[in-house]
Formats: sequence, C-alpha cells, structure tokens
Amino acid sequence: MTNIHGYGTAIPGNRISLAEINRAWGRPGGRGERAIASADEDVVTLCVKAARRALAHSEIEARDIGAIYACSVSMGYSEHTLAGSVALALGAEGALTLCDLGLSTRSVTAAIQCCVDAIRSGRIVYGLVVAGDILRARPGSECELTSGAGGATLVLGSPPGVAELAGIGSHTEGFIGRYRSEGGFPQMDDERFVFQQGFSVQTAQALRHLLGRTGLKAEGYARAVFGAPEPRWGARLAPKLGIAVERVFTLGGELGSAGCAMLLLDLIGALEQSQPNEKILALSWGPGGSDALALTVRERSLSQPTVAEQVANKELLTYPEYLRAIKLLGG
Amino acid sequence: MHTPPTWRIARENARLIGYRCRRCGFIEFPESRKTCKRCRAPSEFEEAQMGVRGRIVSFVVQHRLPEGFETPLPLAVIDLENGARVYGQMIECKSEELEVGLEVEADFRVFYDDAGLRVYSYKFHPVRG
Repeated sequence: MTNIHGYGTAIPGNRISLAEINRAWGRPGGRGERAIASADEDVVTLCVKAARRALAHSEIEARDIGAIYACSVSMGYSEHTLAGSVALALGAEGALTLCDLGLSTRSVTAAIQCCVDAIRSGRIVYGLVVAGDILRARPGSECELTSGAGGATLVLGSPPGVAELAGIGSHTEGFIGRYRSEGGFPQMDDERFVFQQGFSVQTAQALRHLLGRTGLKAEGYARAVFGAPEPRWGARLAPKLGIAVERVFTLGGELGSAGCAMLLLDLIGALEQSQPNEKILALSWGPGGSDALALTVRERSLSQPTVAEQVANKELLTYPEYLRAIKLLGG
Repeated sequence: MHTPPTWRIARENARLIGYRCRRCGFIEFPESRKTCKRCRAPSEFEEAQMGVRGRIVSFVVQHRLPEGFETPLPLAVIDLENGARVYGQMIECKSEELEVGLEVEADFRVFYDDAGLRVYSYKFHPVRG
C-alpha cells in the first residue's frame, strides 16, 4: 500500500483580479483572481519551497528520500533538471532516483504512478512528487484569464501515513486540445470542443477505469478535485460523473490554473479540510488523456502554512504591475 | 564561464550553509573556508547551518542605480538566529516598513540570470502573521 506522509504548497502572494484584466482590455465583468509569481520567483523556487514544507510536514529527513519525481510545463528550459534542483536545495543526494516529467499537465499523475511503482516494488521507501508551474498567456487572450502559478509536493511512502492511495485508473487518447510551442504562448482549440471532446470524455473514462478497480461508486467519494486547465470545468462535468457539484473542491477561482501543480494544490486543499475515513477522488487531465486517483483520509493534518492561509494572504496587482511581474513589460 | 564559481557555492547557497571559524566563532557565508575575516588570518572552518530568521541590524534603500536594477532597492544587514551576519535584498515590503530590529525571514529566490542560467540564493522579507 502507498500512503501520503506529508504535503506542502507554495502559492505566490500576488494576485490579479479578472475584473482588472477585463478592465485593461475594455471588457465588462470578471469574477475571481489569479495567482501571479513575482519576477524573482520561478518554477524552481516554488517547488523548493513546497518540497521543504512537505518534508517538514512529513517529519521525514531528506536523506531518507529515495526518489524525486518532478513535473512542470513551464520550467523555461529545454535542458535542465527540476528534480535535481529540488534535490540540491533539500540536501537529498547520493543514491537517489531523479525524474523530470512535463509537456502535459497530466504528467503530475504519471509522476505519482512512477513513485507508487518504485515504492510497491520495494526499491524505495519514501519518494517525493513535486509539481510547479507559472503559466503565462498572451495579453488579451482567453488563456490570460485562467493562467495562474503555484507549487505543491507530496511525500509518498510505504509506512502508514495521513492518507492512503487506494487506487489508480487511466485513460489515454491522442487528443491534444491545448498546446504551446517552445517560447510561445498557450493555444487552446475552441473551449467547448476541448471540454466536450477531450476533458469530459477522457476524464469520464479514467474514472470508469478507477471505479471498476476499486468497486466503489462515484457517489461514495466525499470530495473530488480535477486540477483542470479551466477552473470551471470540474464543476461543469461533475454531475455527469455522478459527483454532486458541492463535492467539487477547487482553488481555480482564487488562483487560476497552476498547470501540473493544480491537481496537487486542489488535493492538498481538500485534504486539509477532510475528516478521517473520507474518500477523495483526484482526476488529472492534459494532452494525452486523464488519470484518476482514489484516496482515503486517515487523519486530518495541516501543512504549514496551510492552503487556506496562503489563499487569504494576498496583494492585488494592477494590470501594469502584473505585466512587470510576468516580464512582459519593463526590463 | 559562469558554471565553476556558481557550482562551487551552489550547495551553500541553496541550503544557507555558512562556515564557522574554529578559532573565533565568526560565521562566513558563503565563500570563505581558508581565511577568517574577523581574525584576518588563516584558520580552520566547520560547516554552520544558518537559521532562516533574523533581525535587521542596518539597512539602506538605493534609489539611483545603473540600468538593470529595479529601484527603490532595499538592502539590509541581518543577524541570523545562530549568530551569522549576512547582507541581503529585502522583498515584499515597503521601504517605510524597514527599521532596525525588524524580524525577517529568508526566502529562496532567483538571484540573477547568467547567460541564460538562473542562479538562486536568499532574499529577505518581514515575518508576517
């Protein structure tokens, strides 16, 4: 059995409201906010911060970590290492497996599966799954309204922990839907098309695969997190999956989408609100398909600072300040 | 050629590891392992894990700097919890918040970009909450 021993998150303090973005482009309305990294924060600093907090929460020493699986779609290098950068900062060295994943936000659950496989095989006792992204979008584009930032880390291991990973289901298709050329801005085909033909179909299939393995109906899960690229997609799809809308937990309205980290941010936020024995569904999606995870909470445990504290601790930016922070304006 | 000097202090930079002079106890961060700045003489050093919190001893806010620097740029001399004295940039605070004795915390940030390679170290912000 694989268990979650600790978790940590890093949510930038800067926010921009969707109303402020719309005001800059002469559009009306806008509800919610997006998390914006400072100019001197990047995927590495967010992941290091989240990983340190997760290790502190788990009370496991860095030297006991056998593998680090890191994922990001926005690290900014074509050749580098996120996992290695985190290892250096943590002091995890020597006979350690490092694995960097990316290209699709679905890779966060691929990272979890890799870590689970290593633990179940007995090759490692504890492993880290680290995810971080700072998403940028073309100013004025639809994606600008959903691109957020954040980092998150899970400490997984074989001994009993604060939550248990009860099952994994997957569904793979060649559907892309959302993409970004190197150095460019994200592009998404027609939003309704991607939601209907991509996200809805593949997430439902992954969930069906998972439920077939666990033997539990979707109604049996107290909470569901989607980590979707568009924050509203999870609640839009949930009723069709047999999940009541009020059971969907997402920080997307407050933070936007944090790419690979979004699923873990939502999951950790849900774990910090859950009671023992509650069951949680976590469904990832990205180019290539979807993975579904089933978790059972063993004890309610809060990492420091909590997700709720970081969401509440914020400073609103003006549109020019936001453009400077994401380095699209100024030196 | 940026990699050798950056790599030699990467571990210390990433983990706030200083070096303590075995003779006088002075902690240096991050570079010296041969000559003590306080003794002004060759010495032996041992690793010292520095704390992440400290207090401002002195500070200055720079307003006129060459192109490439964002102004105003607050810089502070900080005494960390375990006795090390460091010099660092203050972030996430207004200039008028700065005062001698203010409690601050180290935060891992991008320090500069050297030929496309981002180099990391610590900046400091006031302890909140």
